[in-house]
Amino acid sequence: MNAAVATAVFGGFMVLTVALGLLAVRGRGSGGGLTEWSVGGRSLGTVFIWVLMAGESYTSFSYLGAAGWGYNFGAPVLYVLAYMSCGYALGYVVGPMLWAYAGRHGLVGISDIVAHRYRRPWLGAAVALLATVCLLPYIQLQITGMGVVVSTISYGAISLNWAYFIGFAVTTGFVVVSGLRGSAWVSVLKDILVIATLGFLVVYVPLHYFDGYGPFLHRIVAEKPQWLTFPGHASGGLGQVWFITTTVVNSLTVVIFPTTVAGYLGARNADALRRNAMYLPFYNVLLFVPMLLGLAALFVVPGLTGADSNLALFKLVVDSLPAWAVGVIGVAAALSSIVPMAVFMLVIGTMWGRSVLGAVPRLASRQKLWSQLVVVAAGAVALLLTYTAPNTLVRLSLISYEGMAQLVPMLLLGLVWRGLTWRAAVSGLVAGFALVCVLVFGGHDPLWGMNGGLVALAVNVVVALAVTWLGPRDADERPDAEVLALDDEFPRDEALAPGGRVSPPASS
Amino acid sequence: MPSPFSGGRSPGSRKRPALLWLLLPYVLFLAVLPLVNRVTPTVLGLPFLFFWMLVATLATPVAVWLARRADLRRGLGKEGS
Repeated sequence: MNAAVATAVFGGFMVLTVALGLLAVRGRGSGGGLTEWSVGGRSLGTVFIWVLMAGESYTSFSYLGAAGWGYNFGAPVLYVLAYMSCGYALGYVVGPMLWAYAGRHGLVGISDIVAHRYRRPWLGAAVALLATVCLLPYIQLQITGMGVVVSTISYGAISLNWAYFIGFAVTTGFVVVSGLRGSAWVSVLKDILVIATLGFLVVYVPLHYFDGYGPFLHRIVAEKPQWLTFPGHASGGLGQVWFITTTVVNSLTVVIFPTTVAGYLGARNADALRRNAMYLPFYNVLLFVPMLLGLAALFVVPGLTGADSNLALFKLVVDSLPAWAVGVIGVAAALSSIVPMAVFMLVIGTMWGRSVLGAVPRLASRQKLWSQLVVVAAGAVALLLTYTAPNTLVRLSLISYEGMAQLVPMLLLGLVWRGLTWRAAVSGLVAGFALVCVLVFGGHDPLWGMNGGLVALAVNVVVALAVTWLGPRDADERPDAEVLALDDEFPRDEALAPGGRVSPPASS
Repeated sequence: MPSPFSGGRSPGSRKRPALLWLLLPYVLFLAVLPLVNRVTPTVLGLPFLFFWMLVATLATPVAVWLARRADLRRGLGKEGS
């Protein structure tokens, strides 16, 4: 009975999700091309940008990993909160800068931003490949996250393997057709459910299990003080230095993360992004909920180990709530896999359609079609690897974020500093990425208590500066205004021209 | 021949010192961490570190607002939403 109710609620919402995603592009025909599909025609206002960026950053990790880290380690989980807050603040500057640059030159993602900056199409293709390697594991994490949630909340009625497939099918079902705009619409449903369910849980769980907040917090402080400060409980070196270095490198990375950039480029104007940088950090308050519930689970379901600790939150939910409520909370968590997965697949498709396949002259006229095909292919590869060789992508995911961090100098430094040559940017990237691989796979991360990604980023920058200083100069006669993102400072003329391109700023 | 390090900022770029507000989250979350990495005193029942992280989280939008306010006062970025 429970299983039937919860499964019905879940199924209904999944149908609604696909319908909502497809409705997003109703009446827009199939016109608009790649820009319409990849970045919503650069037309989303403050509200949609907020919903979308909140939607894509609050992933299945927030429900599973955050609760699991809270349960296992305690305080170290706070890094998620810290780097997202710092990154959103940085987005106040970086968002409008990338938005204006991409709009002016008709760019749709980080790979063609790089190709334009360094005037090297192959470099764009290389960045697309590298980013794909870093993003595929995230798709798998969403698929597996969705799988455990759905099989848990359906009381086992939906098997893991079916749940994986449902995640892939629902996501592909709308994102192939409706792209970023569809993801934003689904995010509306997702954010409403996430805010409502977490708001409810944060009140209900302490009341149900501990007779209120006072006793709950009192008990944590009295019995689990080890969880409440750095380095946390048995965290294996996740101390203060680790927290600081991780927050620094992740906050720099999140502003150039391909999915974040997709959100930036979707904005109607730069001011929508500036407002968003102000409102988005409020969403982070919600991250406290799974962290606290992870701690609560220490008392209610002690002894969870390994992957089971990721289910800390859902054990409480299934244990204490009726089936329909379990279903609704499961839907919120499932959508927290689906929305990020949609945008991950979208940006992979966009980068390939534009910078890899689109760079081949014979294929260049069908960029949107190639992008859509690659979306399906990327999702299918992640799904197949989930079934056949799950550990491959899990191992890769260890380098995902730290690897992506190595693109920061090439992108951000390159866009404000003409002196950085393509050889220097590539040398730095290669050195940094290689070091990340060595540190992570060699078991040396954290290194001397520091996040390995930040160590590698420092090496990356040093190499880039050295090669710029010693190596040959780029022969590029374009003016600075064409190459750099100089008018990050409130470009005066931000109205979109009818053609969808941004008119050139008055100052250039 | 120009030095490779001389490129970058356009001559007309305006200084925006208020952007330093955007570093406030880094100060609150990171710089003062050694001082706040403690369980007591509890505030509203919350262990101190978690209380402080909540403060820092809520201060982040305020920091962005301060940066934005200065930009708006310069008469910039008045385009609609």
